[in-house]
Order: sequence, then C-alpha cells, then structure tokens
Amino acid sequence: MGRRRAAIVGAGHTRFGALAEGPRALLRTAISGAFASVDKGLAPSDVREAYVGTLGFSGWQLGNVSAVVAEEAGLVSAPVTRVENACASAGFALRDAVRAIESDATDVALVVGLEKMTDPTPTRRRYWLGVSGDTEWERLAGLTFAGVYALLASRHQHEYGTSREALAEVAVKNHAHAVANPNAQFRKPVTVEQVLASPRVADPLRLLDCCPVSDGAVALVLAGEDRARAYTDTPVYVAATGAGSDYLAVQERPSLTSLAATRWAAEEAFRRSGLERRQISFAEVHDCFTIAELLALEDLGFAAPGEAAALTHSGATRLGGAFPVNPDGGLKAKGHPIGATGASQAYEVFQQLRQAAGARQVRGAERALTHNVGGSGASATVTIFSVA
Amino acid sequence: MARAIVAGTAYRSRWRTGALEVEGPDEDPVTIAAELLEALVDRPGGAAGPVVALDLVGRYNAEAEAALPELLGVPHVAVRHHGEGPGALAAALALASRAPSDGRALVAVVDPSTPATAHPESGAGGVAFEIAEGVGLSVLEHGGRRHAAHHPPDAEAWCRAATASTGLASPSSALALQLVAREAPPVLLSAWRRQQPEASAETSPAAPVGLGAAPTVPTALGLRRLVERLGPGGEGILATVGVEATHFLGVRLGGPVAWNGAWEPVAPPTLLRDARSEPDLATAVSEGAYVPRPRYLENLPARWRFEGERCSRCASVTFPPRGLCRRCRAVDGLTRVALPRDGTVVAATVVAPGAQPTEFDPLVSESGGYGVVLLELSEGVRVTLPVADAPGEAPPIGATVTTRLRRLYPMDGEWRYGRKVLARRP
Repeated sequence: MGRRRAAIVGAGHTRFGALAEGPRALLRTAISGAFASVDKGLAPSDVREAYVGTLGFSGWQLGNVSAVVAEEAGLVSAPVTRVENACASAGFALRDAVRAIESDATDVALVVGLEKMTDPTPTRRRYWLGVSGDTEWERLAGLTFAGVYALLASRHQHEYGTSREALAEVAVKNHAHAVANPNAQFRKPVTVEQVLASPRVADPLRLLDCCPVSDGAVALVLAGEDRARAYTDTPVYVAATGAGSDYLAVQERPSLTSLAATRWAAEEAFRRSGLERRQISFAEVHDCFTIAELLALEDLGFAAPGEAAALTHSGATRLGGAFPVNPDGGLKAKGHPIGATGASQAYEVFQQLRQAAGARQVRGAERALTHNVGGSGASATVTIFSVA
Repeated sequence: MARAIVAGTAYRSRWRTGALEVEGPDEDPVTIAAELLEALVDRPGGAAGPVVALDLVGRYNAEAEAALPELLGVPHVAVRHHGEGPGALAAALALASRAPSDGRALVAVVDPSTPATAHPESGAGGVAFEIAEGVGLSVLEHGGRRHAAHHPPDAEAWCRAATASTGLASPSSALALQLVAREAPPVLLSAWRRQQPEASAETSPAAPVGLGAAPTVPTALGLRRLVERLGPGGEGILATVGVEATHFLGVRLGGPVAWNGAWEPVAPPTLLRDARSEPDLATAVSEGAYVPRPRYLENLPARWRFEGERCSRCASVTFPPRGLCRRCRAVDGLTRVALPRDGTVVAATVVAPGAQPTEFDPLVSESGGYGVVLLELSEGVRVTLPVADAPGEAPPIGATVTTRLRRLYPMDGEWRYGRKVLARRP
C-alpha cells in the first residue's frame, strides 16, 4: 500500500466511575500514564500533534479545551485539536491522529479522551445526556438516548423476535468481563434475573441494559511505524480506520434495525486493511445499551441480521469463546465517559494485543477491532489493529 | 337530500394547580381550538377554503392562537379575542355569518375562562359549527344590553330585550339560558316562562334549556344544548348573562346536526390534582436542548400539520421540509404537501420517570412516564411523537393511531406546541 502505518506505543487509563478527581487531574493521570507506559521512554517534546475527544459534558470548559490538554500534558506550544462527535469523539480523534501519521504530517501524536459526567446536579446531568440527539424531533419528543435506543430495540424485537432475555445476556456477559478489569466502574456480576428486575428506563430497556454515567480519561501515544520500535518492541499497529455518518434523527433513516454509519465504517476499515472478519480475534464494540451490542455485531458483519442474540446466547462472545466481545466489560460495565470511550477501546486492544490484559486476556489475540458510535448512530468509527 | 351540518364539541375538565387552572398535562385552549377546527376541516370536503372565525375567550397564548390559521391552512381566517366570555359566541357566529364566502363558514369558540368549581360540567370547552345557508345554523340576530355590574337585569326588561333583539318571540322558539351572573337564574327563567306560558312543559321545544345555576359551564355548551333541543327548522335564543352585560343570539337550524365529538365531563386524573407546579415560564431556562423561537416558528407547518415537501423530479416526500429533496437533492420543484394526520406505529417505547429529558419534568411530575412512538405517516415518511392520552402506555407496533396538537414543552417564556399520538382513540 505504500503509506506509513501508525502504531500505538503507549497508553494510559484512569479508573472509570464516579471519581473525586476533576477533569484536569483525570487528564494528568491518563496522559502521564500513557507517557510512562512507553517502554523505551518518551520525551513529551517528541509529541508534535495532539487530538482530544470530549463532549464537554456539564459545560465545564465548553470551548478551547485543547489548551487545557496542552497544559496538563506539558505540551504548551504544540497544536491540539478538539474533536467532538458525541460518544464517538475519541474514535474520531484517534482516526485524525492515525491519518496525520499516515500522511507524514507528524511522527508522534497524542490522542486524549475525556469526560467528567458526575460533577453536575442530577437535573443538569439529565439535560446533558440528550444534547447529542436530534433536538427538535427526538429530544423534544421526550427522548434521551435510552429512549431512542429503546425505539430501535422495540423494532428489533418486532422484526427478529429478539427476546428480553437476549438483551439481558449482553449485560450479564459484559458485567462478568468487567470483574477482571481494575479500571471498570462495575466489577460485579449480574444475572439475567437481576437485569429483568432492574427499574424500567425506556421499554424494553431497563437500568441494567444501560451504560452508567462515568468520569474518566484515556490517553494514547501513537507513532509512525518507522519510529515505533524506538519506543517499544511491541507496538500495536493500526491496520486501517473507517468512519461513517448518518442522518441525525432515527426518523429519517431507512432502517430501524441497523446503524448504517457502522456498516459504512466497517466496510471502509475492512477494505483498507485487506482483512476478513474471521481474522479478527476479538472486538470492542459500542454497547451503550444492550441492544447496541446486538446491532453492532450485525452491522459489523460478525452476525447476520437478527442473529446476534443467538451468537451471544451461544457463548461465542464471552471471554474464552470463539470471538470475545468487550473483554474489558464494554461501556455497559466498564463505564462510558462519553468522550473517552473511543480511546478506552483502543487502550484495551493495546493491552490485549501485547498479551498484557491479565485475567481478562484473550488468548492468542493478534488482531482486534474497535467500534465507536456517536449518539444513536449519527456517526461511527471502526478501527482495526494488528500486532504485526 | 338535506345535508347535515357538522358540529364539533371538545371539552376538558379543569383542575386547579397553584395559581393556574389547566385542562390537562398538555392541553389548553389552544389545543382545544385546534382539535375543534381540525374536526371540521378534516371532514370530507371540509377543507375547500372555508372562512373560519376563531374566537378564544380571553387571551391565553396570543402567539399560539394567532398561529392557529397556520394549522388550518385556510385562506381566510379571523381570530378574535373577547375579554368577557358571554358575548364571544354571539360575536363569533355573527362574524362567520357575515363573512364573504359561498355561504359556508366555520366558527369555533373556545372558552378557557371558566373557574374551577364543584360543578360537574365545570371545564374548558369549545364548540365549532359550519354555518351554511339553508342547511346550517343561521344567525338571525344578536344583540347585547349592559346592566349594572353584578346586578342581574330586571327580569321583565330582560325578556323584552331578548325577544326584541332576536326577533324570536313565538312559543315555538327555544331558549338556552347561559347565566354567568350567579344571582340571575331562577328570576330570569321564571320571567321567561311567564312570558311564554305555553312553553312550560319540559318536553316542549320552547321550554327553556335549563343550564341551571351553572355559571361555570362554558358558553359553547349552551349552544350545543340549544341545538340538541331544536329540530330542523327550529329557532332559538342563546342568552348569556354576564357580570355587566347580557347577550342574545337568535339562531335557526337549517337541517339535522351531525355531532363530531362528545361533550362528556371527564374527571381529571386524581393524582394530578395537586401534584403539578407550573414552571415559571418567564425564568425557566432550557439549556442546550434549545430551539430558538425563529426555528420553532419555521417548523410550525411540520410540527402542527405534518407538512412535507414533495419533489416534482423523483416524487419522494421529504419530512420535515428542508428545502431540499432527501432522495435526489433537487432544490427546485418542491411542493408543500400535507401528510396524513394519522399513521402506523413502527417503533414504540415508554419512558419511565427519571429517564425523561429535563424539558419533560413538568409532564412527568403530573402524570408519570409517557409513551413515545415512531409513526409512519406515508411510505417511508416517519415522525417521532409522544403519546398524549395514555400515561405510561404506548400503542403497539402496527397500530393505526391518530394525532392531535398538544403542548410539548416550555421554552423562553412560552409553551411550544406540536402533534402527539392518541393511543386510545381510533
């Protein structure tokens, strides 16, 4: 192909959850952790470009948050660009960094994802939880994202007979995975019965079908493949990225059982990488709600339309199964600090492909895919990583 | 064959909430007026450019009231406001009867101003009529007479004035007496009976339609009662005695009346009675999920009457209108089209309390969770709508449902309106 690949050479991750630390402290923890994780050392001055994904939840520093990142990273004077695509902000920030490296615009780039969601009052929090949906037609029809995904779930149930239990099995699996993730917000298993007995949120979705409100930050250090070995002997290469967008409001999309942005992103990523689905060892998919993981598996091509529930039920997507999905617990149990999630998925891939994921290690993992969705599918990125 | 006139009535029980009386979590005089007018405009052949006189008794939401013509999409509309209720119906009917048209007109009167009391028919209501020469309700005459504030008019003088104003003195004419002044009813009713002794039998068309001591009954109900009493060809007087003036309206019924809509007092959900705290519209700030006023107004045709854009090049319909064909991206040859006001549910959910956007907190504090559906209006044209009439419920996928204009959310000091789904009515 000729173009230079990008590789992750370092990654840092705060705990996810309701944290006492403020946004600046979270940034420092993640970024210093990423710098410190570079095996052969990294001088901050090597970083010539940085991208930060954040929604700006709660209005804390809505504009120019890039300068804050530069301050906390010790990168004042380096250009920092803020990327906002709702829950896919860091996925797109990562894509920008990869493309900057692929195009030789920079040799080393920093990707940061940040959200501090538990600071505001519960009322303000509920206000912020819906700002990325279609304001005029969805939000002001009374829907937050739980409601929008609930509509999609109702249609999936109607067309494919997807059962309430099938949705719960996604939550059960991802909670089980999160037990082994020290950064996860919920490190406790749940049962199907507990999911079904949890409070209603938006039918058919219940509280344990939904990802939590989370604080957290993640940082990734990327380098051109020609420079990567100067930083580590075990870089994780970005084989390809793909991205897509769709109509903002679900009412304007032709399909109610599929997110087209995911399909288009996956199509691009697989085409550019030259890889097949069967070559992917595991996936980190955007399971903001249990229905979202089923949609993701179908739209990414790992399950036929309507078949993701059966795939999940078979155990294939569990750790130890043929194709583990969300070994870190996913958004569902690890937590979902909106702007950080896309980077957190790549962090997990970095650990897994370096065989450093400990008790949640996917054995023999060589290639992995991350899938990051903005809102109810208005935007999506798919990134494929490889150890070689 | 005699054509029946079409008449509609809408009625909502009222309840008090703090300083404000409201008709329902999301209903008010604007939405009642819209329901009435749509009932008439939507009937077969009804939308062919009738003249509409809309009279809202008292100002409720002047901006939204003024926008109601937009909802109707009819060429000639007059919206009037009357500070005092009793004369509003007479004035509106007169306005409609004099309107230049092909002899047809629609009139709707909505009375939001009756206070909440224990009277079983206390409520906000409206009535809408087609006025059509020969078949509809003809306005014979109307008039008014002032009297001392809070003093009922002299009974005998009142009867003379009523008959003189309307020209209806014959025993065959009926009387509907709408009494706003609390002291008046027995005196005036007995005076009327003395003047028309033959009309004393309750079954006689000339017997007064006793609205009783019902100072709280909406004016519109008086007209409905009167029309129900009159047979085709019958004549009657609707009289309203206000605090400071008496109004008389003489009408002749040309043909049978087909009622469109019931007048059934419905008790408001008891759980709502005291729970509501009206948001302070002047200071309530909605952050982020913000629709600036110009954009709300721009969307009115889509919000209020499901107006879309049909492309003359590829025939597809884009909703809401964007000035651009979604399918072939044409910007020329787009025609505004009214989509059906009912549709098929293609996806549905019920939002539980706590999961609502903050703009919906007032609604949830009144009636708990609410349904939201994705409704398909025509092939591939969908809209996301809340469910209006069934707290905590949503119609199932595949159901055919209709929609109504309702209050959506408060913003920038006003209620914003849009269509919602009725889950319980066909």
